Formats: sequence, structure tokens, C-alpha cells
Amino acid sequence: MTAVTAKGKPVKKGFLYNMSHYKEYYIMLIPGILFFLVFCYGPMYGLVIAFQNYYPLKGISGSPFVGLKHFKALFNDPFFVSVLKNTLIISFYKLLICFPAPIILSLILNEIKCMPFKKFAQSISYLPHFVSWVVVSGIIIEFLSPSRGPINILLQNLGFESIFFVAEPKCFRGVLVLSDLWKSIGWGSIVYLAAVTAVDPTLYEAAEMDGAGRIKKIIHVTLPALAPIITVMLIMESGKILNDSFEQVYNFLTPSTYSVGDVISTFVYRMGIQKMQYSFTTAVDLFKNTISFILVILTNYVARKTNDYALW
Amino acid sequence: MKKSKRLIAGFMASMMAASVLAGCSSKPAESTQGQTAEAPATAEEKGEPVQMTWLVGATSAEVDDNAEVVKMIEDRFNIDLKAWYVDSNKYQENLNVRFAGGEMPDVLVIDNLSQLPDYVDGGIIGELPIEEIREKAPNYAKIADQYDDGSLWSTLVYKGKNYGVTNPMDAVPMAMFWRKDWLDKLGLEVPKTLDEYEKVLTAFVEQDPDGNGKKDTAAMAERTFGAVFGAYGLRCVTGGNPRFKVEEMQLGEDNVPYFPYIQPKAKEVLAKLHDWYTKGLIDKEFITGENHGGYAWLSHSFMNGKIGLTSAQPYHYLNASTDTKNEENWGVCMKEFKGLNPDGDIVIGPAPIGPDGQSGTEGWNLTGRMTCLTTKGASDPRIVDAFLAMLDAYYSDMDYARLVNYGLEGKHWKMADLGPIRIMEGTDLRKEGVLQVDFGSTVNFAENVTPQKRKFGHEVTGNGYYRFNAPPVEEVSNVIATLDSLTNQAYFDIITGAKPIDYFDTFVEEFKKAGGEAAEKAVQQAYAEKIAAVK
Amino acid sequence: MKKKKNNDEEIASVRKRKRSREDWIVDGFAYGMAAILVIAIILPFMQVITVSMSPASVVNATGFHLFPTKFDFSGYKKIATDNNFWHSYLNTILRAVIGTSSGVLITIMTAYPLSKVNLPYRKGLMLFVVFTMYFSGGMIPKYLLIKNLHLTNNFLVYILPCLITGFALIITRNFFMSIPGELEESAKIDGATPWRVLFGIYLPLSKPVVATISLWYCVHHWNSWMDNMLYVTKSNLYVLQYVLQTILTNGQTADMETMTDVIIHTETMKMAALVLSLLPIVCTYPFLQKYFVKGMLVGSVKG
Repeated sequence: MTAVTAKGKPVKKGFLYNMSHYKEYYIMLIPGILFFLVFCYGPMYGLVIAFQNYYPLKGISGSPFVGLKHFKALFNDPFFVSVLKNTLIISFYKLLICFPAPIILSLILNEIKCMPFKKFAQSISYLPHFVSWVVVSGIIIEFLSPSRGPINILLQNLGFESIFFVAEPKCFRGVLVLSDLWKSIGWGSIVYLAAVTAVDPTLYEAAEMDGAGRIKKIIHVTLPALAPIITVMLIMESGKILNDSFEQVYNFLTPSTYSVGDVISTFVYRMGIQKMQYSFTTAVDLFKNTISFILVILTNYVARKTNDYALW
Repeated sequence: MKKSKRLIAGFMASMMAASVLAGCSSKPAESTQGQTAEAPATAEEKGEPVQMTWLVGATSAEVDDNAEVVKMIEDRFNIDLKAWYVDSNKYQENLNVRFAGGEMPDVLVIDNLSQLPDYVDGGIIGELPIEEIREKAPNYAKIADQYDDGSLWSTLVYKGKNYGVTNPMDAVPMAMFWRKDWLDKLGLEVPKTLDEYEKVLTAFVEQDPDGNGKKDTAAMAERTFGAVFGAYGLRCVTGGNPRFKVEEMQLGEDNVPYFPYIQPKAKEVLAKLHDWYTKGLIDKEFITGENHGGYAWLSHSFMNGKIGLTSAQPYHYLNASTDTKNEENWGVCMKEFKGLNPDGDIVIGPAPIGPDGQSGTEGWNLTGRMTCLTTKGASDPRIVDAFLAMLDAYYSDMDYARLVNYGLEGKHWKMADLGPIRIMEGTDLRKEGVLQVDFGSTVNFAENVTPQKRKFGHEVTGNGYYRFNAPPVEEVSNVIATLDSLTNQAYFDIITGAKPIDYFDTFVEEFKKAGGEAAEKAVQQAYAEKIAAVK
Repeated sequence: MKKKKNNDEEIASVRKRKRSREDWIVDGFAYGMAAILVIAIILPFMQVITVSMSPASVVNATGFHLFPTKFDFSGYKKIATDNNFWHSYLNTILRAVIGTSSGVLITIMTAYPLSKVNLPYRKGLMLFVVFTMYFSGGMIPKYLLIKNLHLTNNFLVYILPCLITGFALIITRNFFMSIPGELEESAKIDGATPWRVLFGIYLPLSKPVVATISLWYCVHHWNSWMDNMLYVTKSNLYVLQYVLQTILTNGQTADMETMTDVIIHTETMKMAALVLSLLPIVCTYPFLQKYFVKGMLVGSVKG
């Protein structure tokens, strides 16, 4: 369709040529781009609040500029390193466990042939996504209670000591990760299921002819078909490494577990005890988002070099 | 002097009106009746009511213009009363958003003194000179003087100017609630001293008070910590949550504020608490709190018989007397407790007396309900006058005070043996104009309108370590999260034994080094300046 | 439809002939894990449902409540008799339908050109989109924008500011990229415009991804309440989740200390609110499931 150079890359043409040649495509793009321009880039100037002592009434033009004051306040805090460490470690554990889980679930559901059960399991699996952490944490804390929780009652009957999971620093991150797994596995599997069901059945037939059993089919047909979507999801997940689920951690956190569980957002929340910290939270968000964006660019670059699938 | 102030005020008012009209294209918040507010702030005709908008807190609602109470208030003060509704979910964010849009009410209640500098510097709260308050609200001033401990008039002073009114509140400290049926079963009296407390608590743990054959009861949890600290003269409180409120400093006898958490006595208390923890007197699950959801002052541990002692405000359990058999006397927590334990009973006991004869529980502010005029309100002299008149009426005319706080008898409340009881609640009540322009349970309000409740509250409680309104300083707000983390981690670890008691000394050093020492000094200085400014 | 069934039967019969030990292991693992997951999710929900219809005396008791013993529907009653409840239900349904359909439409229209590798400035445009997924100006500038666009107290404020998400766009685009180029080539030779190609060829093949993003958008609209809170004050424009939130917070004051009177049984009401908002979701998914079907590519390539 387009002329190519000796290396096979498309020849770069002028702007007007591009516009006219691809006219319909660009017209199709107009509503979407307009949306992003107006509603996402429109308010983007608000980022400057991170560098001000913002007073809502005075607005951006009326509020004093303070440069990197908020960032310095964050980085110089004695607890920043510990809080950052916790955020990274917890995100890493979640990446390790909660990222593959929906993929595996989609494979499992795909293998289930009994349609009623499959539909039932599917529908049930994503219900936890809709329940807020306030409710979920209440249930989980009760479930893990050292005196009343089933797990500890079982432990006691077996002669062991009961464990106060939620308050024990050694177990706390595990509680966070596993509860997140419970909550997100179903909803996260939806996108993989869509990809799995779109796999061409003739590929399975071909694999069958080559003597592949069920497991080999999964490895050689289903997984490769999922590779593009997994790559995309992985790139985006890696960008979230500094994000933490405030709602989740806040509802589980106690001073006994600050050392392992206090994350950036809960710490910043406590910093807001005394002041209206609008600009400070904006600064923290900007910091987190910048790191996320850089990570996404990096992982996207790596993805592009190693295979064909990437974000752009 | 005053005339020029009026000129300036008038000038500012027209400037404000012009900028608001120019910059703001939003419609004012529409009431659910669909009526729009029209009357401009600078009405020329005499006798025309001036529009006045109040925001007393997160439970405000827009007033129904046709409600009787609203009309009565409007007629009396010649105003057109409006109230803001701000979603209590994310209350501060919602307010910020409204301010950013250029909107603000005329009267604003701030619930945390630390917000004052931001509000003043941000151009939201306007000055209200003390002389003007004294001149136009003499009854308020008289009572305020009567209950002034030296700090009342200086509370809302910032950079030498006054920014609102502070009310003397009928604050009652926390009461200690015991499982009476447990005490009776074990043949015990309500304890008075700390040692007696320990004996009773031990009995709760060892002698199976709920009679189920298992030693599965602890005795107390985190809500009682405050009382134990109180026995040593310290105010280290958790409030309703299992987390120490490090931001609340204590005012010493010598009128000098300090951080109670780093006092040497605190080490003794922590040692005692750790001792009790190892003996099983403190519920090991205090870490996740006595409350398991729902209304914040419920103590599920207490209601479910896990512990036998808890602490709360008297009226959370009993309204106006110690009679636990009269259902009309039951507070929210008592109703829930009885629902679970139809045969259970409670009794209120005194706070424990410590080795040096000290005792006491936490109280909230003795001066509170800080009500300010916004720059919008303060710029219109008619609004200022109306506000001060309403303030004064609340302190001089008890019928008016009851009207704006309780409403109309028969419709919003009824008279019972023990005092007025509300029969309408929530936003419905507020739409009718009740609880929209009041000043809370001030001292004289409580004396005159709810005397039984006031009497009861003070009878069952003893010494109160009331909350101190620390002047907000940057040295504190910069490091408070750090100090909070340090203190709570250290305290919890020492109590549970994760760290040894001598770790306390290390903790104090870290606290001071992290900015705690500088913060304490800064507050002391600011407070001294404030007191001096008012003298 | 019939063609698909035959395919399935063929595959099934091929499999049946070779049912091996491996089949037992895989099936056992799959059914077992699925069953564990289902139980792990159902049990807490039984608690939620039970609490939603139990009196305070049951709710306050610690321990698990999996089956209702005493009944108290006051939570449901309180919610259903609220003035705004039923109207907000309607608003939310309207919002979900209009918002989802317009969102999906614009998403497809934007994803299609971006899936063309040859499109000039494609990388720049992707960066343009991805950037918005990470950086935002914040709540106040957004509020001012909405105000200046006169979208406050306007139903469109529920549709326009959240029309599409970068994430859905990326997923759709990538799915489009996996559709073989030969299909488009043959259509172009027949003189089809990009519009024809998009709606006539790509869309029918993209049922799984369209179902996915429809579900995402629909759920987003269903659960939204913050835009209501910030931008809407007219009660006849309220949405379901917002009404539920206000009912719940009416029962609790933000500041525990200034409470004068309070409506209790908030746990019961909270759970009732949760159940009421979950019900429609639970019912729509089976409806969407039929779009998650196999082998849509089969017929087209052969044809």
C-alpha cells in the first residue's frame, strides 16, 4: 500500500499527503482525539498545583509558587524510604501472584466443558470486584481472627498456636496479596477469556493431529495466542508498581504492621491529618505518575525489542 | 475607626460581587424544591431581608424555605436563610471544589483549628474583631468570659487578628462502662483504684464471668487505654480507633502545652499495659479494634462478651440517668447491647486512681464549635450583624436556642421525663431548619435545655483531660505523620511485647530528633503569643 | 450457528476417542480449582446477603452469618422508600445504555485507525493517548472545566467526560491488529471504504473484545457516583450509587464527636445497598456471555 525503502520501513511523506491519503482514518479519529484533548489535556494544567501552595479560592494564578517544596518534604521524610520500600515490595508480590492468576483462571475456565458450570463459575468469579474494600476487609479480619476465625480454630484444634494474621508483620503482606487475589482474579480474567475464546479452533485440531495432549495444546496453542494481550497487560501493570490500593491497605493497616504495610498513600493520608494538603497530594500523585509513565515507556521498549507486541 | 471599616467593607462587597459575577458561571445550588436564591448581598432597601448562607458541618442540608422553623428564624433576624449541602463523603474535597469555583457560604464552622491558617491565607475566612463581638453579642461575651480559662478568646486569633467565635461547650469526659452482670456473678464491686481495677480485670479473665465454662474472656481493650494513662496524669488517647492520636497535645498545669507521649511517666504506663497484656487482661485483638464496623462508637468486643470494660461518652449508652431499665433512657450503644444480651446489664464506674492519686479520662474540647464568617459574609455588615445577633440570642433566649437546636415540640421532639427526645432525625430534620444555625451543646444550653443530661453526664464522670486547641504551626504539620508513625509503632510494639520496655528511651530520642522537640517548642511559643495578644 | 455446533461436535468426538489419564488430571485440576474459587467467593457473599436482611442483634454478633435466622428487611425498605431511589435507578440504566453504546462506538472508531501499522503519526497518537492514562490535572481543574462547559446539572456530564478509556482503546486496538490483513485487502479490492471495513468486517469478528469493553464501560457507569457528587445537585439527575451512598452516610456523621442523633443499622443497610446494586450486574453477564464465543474467524477466512 505504501512505498517502502530498501530496509522495508515506510517512506515518510509530507503532512498534507498523509492527511489526504489517510483521510477517512483521520476523520474516524476525530471524536476520540477530541475527547482526550478536551477532557484529559484540558485540565492538565492542574499539574502545576504540585509546585504551588494552592488555595482553592485563589486559584492557580493567585496561589504562591513554591517549586519543589512538596517533593522535598516527601523525600526527606525519615519514613519515606521505608514507605517506598513497602509499596514496591507489595506491588512486586502482587505482580508475581495476582498477575498470572487471572490468566491461569481463564485457561482453567476454558478447559471446562460443562457449560452450565462454566457459566456459573464465570459469573460468580467477578462478583468480588464490585464489593468495596471496607466490606471485604471486615469479612477477612473476622475470618482471620485469632479467637473466632475458622482458620485459627482449626489450628488450635490441631494443637498449634493461633496466629493473628492481620497484626503479624510476617503475615501482613501475604494477607494483602491473597485478599487482592481473591478480589481481582475473576474480573481480571475477563479480558483473557475474550482472547482465549477467539483462538481459531483449527489450530487446536492441527495440534491434535500432531499428537498433542491437553497440556501441550495449552502451552503451544492457547498461550501463544494470549501472548499479545499478556504483553500489553504486563506493560501496563509494571507501570503501576508505585501505585498501591489505598482503600485496601488503609482498611487492614494497624500500627503493629506499619513497618511492613505502610505504603505511600496511607502515609500521605496521615500527613493530611493537620492540614488541607491539596497541593501536597497533587505533588505525590505527580511523583507516582511520572515514575509509572517512565516504567511503562521502558517496558514497552523492552517488549518491542523482544517481540512484536507492544503498546506502540 | 468603625466607619472606615464599614466603607472598606462596602467597597470590598461590591468588588466581590463584581468578581463573582464575572468569574463564576455556575448556578447556585438548587434546593430540592427547585427554588433558586435571588436576593443580592447588597440590598438597598431597608427592611429587605439579607440572604445568609450557613454551613455548620458535614450533616448540613439545604433548607426548605417554607419550613416553619426557617420562617421563624428569618423573621426574627430579617434574613433569607439558606444552607449549603456538602456531601459528607469526601467533605473536604467537596468544599475545596466549591471554593475553587468561587463559591462560599457566609458562615462556616471549622472543626479543626489546624485548618485556620489555610482558610485565612486562602482568603476564605474573614476577620471578626473581638470588640465587635463584645459589642453586638454581649450575652455571649458574658458567658464566654465566665468560662474562659484564659484561652477561649485567643483560640481563633491568627497573626494578631481574630477570625470567629469559639463557644464554651458542655464537654463531658469519657465514662467507664462495666458489665454489671459479670461483676454481680463474681461478687465484685466496681473498682476505684488502679490496683482494684487490676484485681477485677484479672477476675474477668480467670473466673469465667460469662459462665460458659471456658476461659475465653479478656477484660479490656484499646478504649480503656486513655483511662490508664489518665491515672498517671497523661492524656494519651485513642479516640474510637485503635491508634493513638499523637497530634493531640496536652496542656500542662502551668498552661504550657507538651507532647504527653514522650513524658517519662508514659514509660511507667506502658510497662503496666504490657504487664496486663501478658496476663491476658488486654484483649490481644485490641490491635484491630473494639469496633467491627457500623456505628463507630459501638464496641463489638464489649457487646459480644469478649471484654467486660469499655469507655465511651455517657450518652452513647444512657441518655440522662443511670437507670438501665428505662428503655427511653437507652442510647444507641445500649440498644444494640441489649439486642445481643437481653439479660446483660451495665454500670458506670469511676476512672482508675493511679499511684499518685491522679485520675481522669479523655474529654473533647472545652471550647469548641468554632464558627467563622467567610470573607463573603464578613464583607457585608448586615450579615455580620445578623450573625452576632443570632449568636447572642443562642446565649440569652433559651426558647430560641431550643428552637434552632431541637425544633418544634411535637413535630421534631417530645418532652420525656428525662428531657427532650428527638423524634425526627438526619437530613429530614435539617431540611426543616433545625441544627442549621445552632452552636451545639454550649454550657448554658446544656444547663437550661437539657439539664438532666448535663447533670447525669457530670455525675458519672470525674476529672477530664480535655482536648487542647493547639495553635497550628508549620513545625508540627510538617512532621506530624512521622511523629505519628513513630509513636504508634513504638507504643503498640511495647504493649504487645514486640519491643522491650527500654525501647521507650530510644523512641523518645527518635521522636525529638525527627522534629518533635522543635514542634513542641514552636507550639509553646505560638500559644504564649496567642494568650498575650488577648490580654 | 449450526456450523459452529458441528465443529464443536467434531472436536468433542475427536477428544472423546482419546480420553486419557492426562484428561483426568487436567479436568480434575480445572474443575477442582474452579470449585474452590466458587466456594471461596460464594461464602462471603452468603454473609453479605444474610447481613442485608438480618436485624442488628444478629449483625452485631461476631462470627459468621451464612444463613439468615431472623429476618429484618428494614435496610431494603429504607432504601426502596427513599424518594430518589427509583428515579436514580432509571437514570443509571439510561446512563449505562447511552454511555456504553457511545463509548464502544467511539472506542472502535478510534482503535481502528490506530491499528493500522502504516498510519502516519501512529506512535505519536498512541503516546498522546497513553500519556492521559498516567497524568491528570486533578479534581479541581476538571471541575472548573465541566463548569465552564455548562455541563453541571446536565445529563451529558455522565456521558461525555468519561466517554472512553485509554485502556479499552488499547485492548481494542490490539485485538484489531490480530485480525488478518488479507480480509481487509480483499474488501478493499472490492472498493470498500474504511468505514465499510470497520463495521462490516472488523466489528462482526470482534465480538469478544466488544463484549469485554462493553462490560467494562457498563460497569463503570453503573458504579459511578463521584461525578454525581461533584457536578450534579438536582435530585432528579441522581444516579443509583450516589443515592445509596447518601442513604448510608445519612446514618453516620463524618465527625463522630459532633453526632447528635444517628440512624443505626448501617451494616444492614450497607449490605442491602450492595445487594441491590449487584443484582443487575449479575443478571447482565450471562446475557453478554454468548458473545464470548469461539471460532468467529473460521468461517471468514475460508470464505
